[in-house]
Amino acid sequence: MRFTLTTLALVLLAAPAFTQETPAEARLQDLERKIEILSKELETQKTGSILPESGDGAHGGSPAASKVYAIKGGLSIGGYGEFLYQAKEGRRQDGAEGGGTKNLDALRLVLYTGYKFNERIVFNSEVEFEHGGYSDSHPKGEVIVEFAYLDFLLNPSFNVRAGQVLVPMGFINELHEPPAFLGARRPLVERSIIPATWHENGIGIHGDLPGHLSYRTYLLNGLRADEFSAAGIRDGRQAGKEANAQSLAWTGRLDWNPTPGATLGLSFYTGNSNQSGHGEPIRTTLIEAHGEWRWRGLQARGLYAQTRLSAPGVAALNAEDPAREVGTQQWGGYLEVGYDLLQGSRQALIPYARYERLNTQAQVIAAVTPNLANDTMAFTLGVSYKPIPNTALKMDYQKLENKARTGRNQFNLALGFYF
Amino acid sequence: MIRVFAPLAFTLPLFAAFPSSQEALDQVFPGAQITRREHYLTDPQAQQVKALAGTALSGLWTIAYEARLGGKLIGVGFFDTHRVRTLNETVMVAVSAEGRILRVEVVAFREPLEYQAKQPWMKQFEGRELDPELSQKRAIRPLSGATLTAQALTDAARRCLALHQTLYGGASK
Repeated sequence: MRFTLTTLALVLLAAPAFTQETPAEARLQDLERKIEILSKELETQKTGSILPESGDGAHGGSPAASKVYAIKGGLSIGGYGEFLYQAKEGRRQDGAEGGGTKNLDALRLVLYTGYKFNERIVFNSEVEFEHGGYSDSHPKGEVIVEFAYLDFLLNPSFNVRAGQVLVPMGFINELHEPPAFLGARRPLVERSIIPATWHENGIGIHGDLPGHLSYRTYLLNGLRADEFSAAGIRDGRQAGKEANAQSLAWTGRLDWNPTPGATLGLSFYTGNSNQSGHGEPIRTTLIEAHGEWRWRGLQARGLYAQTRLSAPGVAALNAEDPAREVGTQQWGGYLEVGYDLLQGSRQALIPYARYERLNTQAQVIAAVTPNLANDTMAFTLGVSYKPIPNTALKMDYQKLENKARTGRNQFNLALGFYF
Repeated sequence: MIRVFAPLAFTLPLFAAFPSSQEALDQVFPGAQITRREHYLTDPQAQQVKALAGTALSGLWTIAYEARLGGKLIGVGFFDTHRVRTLNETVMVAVSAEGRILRVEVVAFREPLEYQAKQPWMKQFEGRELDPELSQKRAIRPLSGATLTAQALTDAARRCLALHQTLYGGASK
């Protein structure tokens, strides 16, 4: 910017050679005027906003026509990534030795791409490479579209979103950039009860309401009950892949931010997960409540979620189908707290603790015996170091217990970033 | 669905029609005489701004919009352009003669709108002066889901207050 200004000033200063007949005083005024015009032009380009028309003078109310939407359009790119080292102890909760395991994973590399067609229509997407991506020789990895939707921006309180969307439940499903949450691993509750990352095809509305409220609600393709298991509904997600839409589902969320730093919210999901088009419906309903408080380096959040499935529908599944083992009642919750010790610094050092309880088979149909290993407790103690807000190095130890006494504790180390 | 909502799009107010710089100044200094003034910072002044703000300064060329009522300087509006993620936003930071923030207003935001700070969160800056409390770890509450926006805005507020203190001596003359 300075270089440009200097160049322009030099060009203008050279101008007198061609206008020698102009009196010096007039030339000086002319130069000052030109520099002021160029300066304003540069300022407009730098700020991206329309500047006051006059250098001085009183400004009355501006006409509505002067309102501009400063973003003219174009491409927006962002992304995040995380690498995770996990070392599971060989010794089980009941004392049995099973041999430890260690794993180092390029867990996620994600690119956000958005495009603003105009001030009312915006495309946004997330493409994710998991476990180092997919190839024929490494089929465990995955390349997947996590969301891809068009937003039709109509009004602050009413906007339309359509495409592949994130189910608006809990904390992690919509906000999962690693520096944004504590813990090297995401909370188990937001993996097993709320199956993050949960994304389906659908259409809905979102916006802000008076009273510091915001909402999102969508109509989606439903889950596939024939992929459910004792571990929960996670494998029933269709992820937009030629999703069977015989039965639709409805989801929504309402958040209240009474004051900056505080959030209280509720969310739900309900739909028939029988996608066969016939037979007994399998009504699947999740409800969830969450709260968060951030104040002077302190951050605390809590969440409770529960799932109910209609037992007659689950019982009507094929007797050989492992989906019959899915819990007709599932629940989970956690409390998490962290505190930034580096108060006077731009860096952050946040010791944290998280306590979780969950059970994916709190109730099952009569023909099924619940696996007590699904009645789980996890206690996580660790520290997150952020040299800048965009990056985090997280290290924690997890005590993992279950009613079957097969839990194995583990040490985790994660490196995450976003931009 | 598009056929249903498209006509609405042209009858409802824009989702995020930001005020122009002029409107932002008019709103915070109603009825005042506004004078655009360019400042070319000296190196010592730039170092002072950086030290006071605790964050980088984008250049030595700074524009201040001085607001006067009855000939008396009642405040100054600065327009700070900074990067959020990969794209820029511009905010007006209006500072009172006493060196306190009167208002922070977004006039341009190029990132997706879900990263933009909402007005209730922005109100936290009002009345703040340049002291250690003006920090996300102290008086300014973080913004869930838009950490980088919150940090960029806090930095901008500190930078403009530091410019005001350096160029106008904290209390405007």
